[in-house]
Amino acid sequence: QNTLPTLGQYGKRPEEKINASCAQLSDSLPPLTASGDDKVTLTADQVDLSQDGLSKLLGAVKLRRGLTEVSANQIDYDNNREVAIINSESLFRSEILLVDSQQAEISFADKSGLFKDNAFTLLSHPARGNSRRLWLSADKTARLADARFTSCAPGNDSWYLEASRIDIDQDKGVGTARNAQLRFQDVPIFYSPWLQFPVDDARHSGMLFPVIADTKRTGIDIRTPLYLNLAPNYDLTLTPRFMSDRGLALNSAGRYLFPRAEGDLGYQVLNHDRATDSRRDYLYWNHEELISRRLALETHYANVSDPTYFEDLGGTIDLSSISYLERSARLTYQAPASYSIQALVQDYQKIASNLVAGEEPYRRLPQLVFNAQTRNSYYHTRAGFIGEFSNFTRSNSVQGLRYDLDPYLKMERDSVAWYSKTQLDYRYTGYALHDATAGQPQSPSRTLPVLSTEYGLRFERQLADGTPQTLQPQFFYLYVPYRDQSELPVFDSGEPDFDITQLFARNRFSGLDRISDANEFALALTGRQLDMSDGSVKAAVTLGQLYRISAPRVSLPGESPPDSGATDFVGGLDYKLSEHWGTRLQTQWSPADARFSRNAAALRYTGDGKQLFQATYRYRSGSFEQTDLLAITPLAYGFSFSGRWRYSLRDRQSLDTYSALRFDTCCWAVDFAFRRHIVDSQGNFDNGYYIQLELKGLGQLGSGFPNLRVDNDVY
Amino acid sequence: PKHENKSAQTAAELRPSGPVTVKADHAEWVQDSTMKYSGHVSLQSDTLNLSGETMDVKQLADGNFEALITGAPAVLDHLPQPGASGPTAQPVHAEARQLSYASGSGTVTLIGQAHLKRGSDEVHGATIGYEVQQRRVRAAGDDQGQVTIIFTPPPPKQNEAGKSDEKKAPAAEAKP
Amino acid sequence: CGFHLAGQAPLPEGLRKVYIDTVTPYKVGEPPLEAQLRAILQRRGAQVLASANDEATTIRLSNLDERREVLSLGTDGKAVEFRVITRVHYEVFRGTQTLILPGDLVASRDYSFEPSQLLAKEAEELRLRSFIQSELAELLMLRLDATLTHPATAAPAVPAGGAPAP
Repeated sequence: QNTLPTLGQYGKRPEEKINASCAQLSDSLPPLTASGDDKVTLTADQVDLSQDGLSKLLGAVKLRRGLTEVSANQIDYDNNREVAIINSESLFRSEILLVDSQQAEISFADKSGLFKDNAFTLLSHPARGNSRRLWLSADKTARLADARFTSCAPGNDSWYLEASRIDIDQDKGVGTARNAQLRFQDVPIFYSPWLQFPVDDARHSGMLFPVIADTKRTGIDIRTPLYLNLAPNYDLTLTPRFMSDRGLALNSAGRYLFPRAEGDLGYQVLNHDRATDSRRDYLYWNHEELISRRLALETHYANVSDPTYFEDLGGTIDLSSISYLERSARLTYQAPASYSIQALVQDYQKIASNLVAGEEPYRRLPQLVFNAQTRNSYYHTRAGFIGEFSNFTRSNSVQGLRYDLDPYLKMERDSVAWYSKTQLDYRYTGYALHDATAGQPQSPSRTLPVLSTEYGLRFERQLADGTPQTLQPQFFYLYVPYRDQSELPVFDSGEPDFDITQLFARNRFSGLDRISDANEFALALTGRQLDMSDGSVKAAVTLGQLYRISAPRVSLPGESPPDSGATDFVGGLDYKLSEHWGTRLQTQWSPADARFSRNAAALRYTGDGKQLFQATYRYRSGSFEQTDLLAITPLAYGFSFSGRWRYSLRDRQSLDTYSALRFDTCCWAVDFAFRRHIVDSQGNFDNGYYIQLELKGLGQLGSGFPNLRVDNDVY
Repeated sequence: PKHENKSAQTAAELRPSGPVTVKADHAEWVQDSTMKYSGHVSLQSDTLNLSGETMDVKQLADGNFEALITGAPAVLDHLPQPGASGPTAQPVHAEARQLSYASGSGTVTLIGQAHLKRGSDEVHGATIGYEVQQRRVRAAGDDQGQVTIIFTPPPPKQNEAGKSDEKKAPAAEAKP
Repeated sequence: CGFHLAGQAPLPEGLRKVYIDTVTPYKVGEPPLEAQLRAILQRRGAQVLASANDEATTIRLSNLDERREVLSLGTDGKAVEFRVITRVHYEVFRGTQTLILPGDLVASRDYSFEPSQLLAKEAEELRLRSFIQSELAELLMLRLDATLTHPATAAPAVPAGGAPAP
């Protein structure tokens, strides 16, 4: 069935149940046992049963019928009209409600009741309140006049909703208040003629808690999101956003989930940005669809009105730190026989202001990839073919078509103790160019074979206590003859990081415009120690090195190819020291100039409960050297702290400083956060103070508050 | 009505003042105007019928009498008023260790594990007071326990408000 | 040093006949994770079926979630390093009998980023994702092996009605 996951799963905040957990009156009551038949059972110290079915009961009276129970000191019960009249304090209890009232009239015939001057407790959703009048009706709806509603424990009125009328519909799981006033610590903080709030855990339309911020870029920045649960499988969140320095923006974000398609889309518009005197907007749409059992479509679209949209109006770190917005449509056809065709149309919108014109990516309009492989193997050998046809376009640069035909033979043998993989390709790549620079041929081409062979052995042993360890040495040899490729354009080729995965790559470059000549072999060793009970990896070590017998001659324009001999030595260690401590190291050491070219070290402590400390050091030579400290810890008296500090050692400056304090009680919580981070390509900082009040049980949390997103498994 | 002085008699019908019929296997006169009956004792007065193992009937000066019936259990049956409708048309059946019937006040007091059934309603308690004429029940608990009443709600009214209609068979649908 | 060639440990009975059920609601084709898991199982001598049946163990792989996150920022506020994280949820059962407690596997890789090499970095990311999925297949196989060959250790954790294969 198609129902969207709750906001929490989508929300920026780690999935946390946010309904209140205050102890309510109802928690201490023994469960109601249905009295089976439909009879009315009354017990009392004294009874006066008159002839016409009217009975007066006195002294610790208890009336039970089905799943409702009334206890009072005095009850008048009329069995003909099936009505109980109680003129003194009574406690009424049903499946959904607990009502302590000064005067009550309960009709069991139509299962309704009127309770005057009452205090009630909802059972399905920890909340309570009181009201002058409460009408309970058969369809499990309750109407309250002059009522208060809160999720705090009895006696604790930190916050309450005061309304002239509240209607609670248990089946719909929603409460509706009219001319409602929200009071926090007895201070009125919000008024609305009409307000809807949830009375169960399902998704409901309603206000999300506002986020109030003060940032350098937008001034006072108030978001008051409204969530519209339009249907079980699509919803919409509308967020008016007032920015004192810029104006009023309206952000909308929708999600949909159909049997064969899923996606989300959103539009943010700031009609008149006072700071830049212009209209700013951002549109995005992501869609995945299964057109047929064999044909799938995936599209992404994003567009901003101007490159500095995210720099000025902010967004998640994933948005403000990227330089391009992808727009692509990908169609994949998977034939029953094992071949597939993928068609891609892709373009990018540049959103960083510090990029040189020549560095923009080429657009692929379109790219077709045909991929086939024989199903069964003949003497462990399979034949395969990968064909690619692409049309690269980019303004005022060389453009054109590229077609690449890559037939290959692949022999794979795989038994438990060892494996071998040999592949021979004979690759043809041709171009049909236009706007080529002077002297560059219109249709250059390249044909070359690629031969690679890989062997691996698998060793095992068990330590004294039975802990299994595995050791896996691997050997890889690659031979590619030299072909002059200086006349070939560079559409999508580049040099990837040299790491363990690159040791066994069949091309030193990524992309197809350059295929490096090679006569090299690589050695790698992977060791793992497993947890005996569930087989999870306690520790993993990988070491590897590439040795070039002869120096490659193919290079990207402006770069010199590496020389022969041993290349960088790469290593990695993941080690779960104990239940609480874990460490992760990656390193790349260059024997040629005897220095590290890349290091990453992380140490993490996860305490029980919500406690996590982590220190990370990341270095890439010539690029960055940074530390990244992270701390999440509960403090005392309901306070908890979370912070992150990214510091660049090389530039001796902070890049991103975030700290947040949360005060959490059983029925409300408040989050304060401060964030100072580089926001534009000139390196300017933005300081932002954020506050969000959360009245548990009254609604959901919206986006907009900068939460620390920490992955529990990966660091 | 004049008190007649009878010596011990076998199951003789005794007709104290008022239309009261007493039956018993044995009857015995005891001083200061108390008669003691034993063995399948029953006392019938108009639509009321009390029965038990033994019965002491004490004749009072004003012509009324008090009867104390004990049995295992002593039983009270009050037949419906002929021709009446509504609650008074329901027979009353009650049991207790002892029944104390005072003809003057027209009340029967059931003492000791008293159970009374009127139509489909039930009352259980330590002592139950039953006013015969108005068919009114008063009950009280004791330190052993409270009084319990079990009502069976009237059959659901078939969409006519208020008018209850006995002639129709109780509606088949179960009340939710 | 005690290491010997792998292969002595026989394939656990639970994995003799296996069906891999990958739930990718809006995608077609076989993700590298499934292809690699099939290869590992076949080389261990398992029979990988084309369709589910109650005699065979079903390995259900769902919620395959590939995500890219910013890892390091430059002084221009732009990302200089990304992390690719791939998560998958696995369930292993035969008929109604749960053989292994359902769980999640996660693996990640980092790579540096330069805006000028966008298409090349995209190709690099695709290659890393495929490498991660192969690694996930190996991690899953380690779990299957460990849990199914040591029923004693796995027994308590398996919920009621889920007695592990003898």
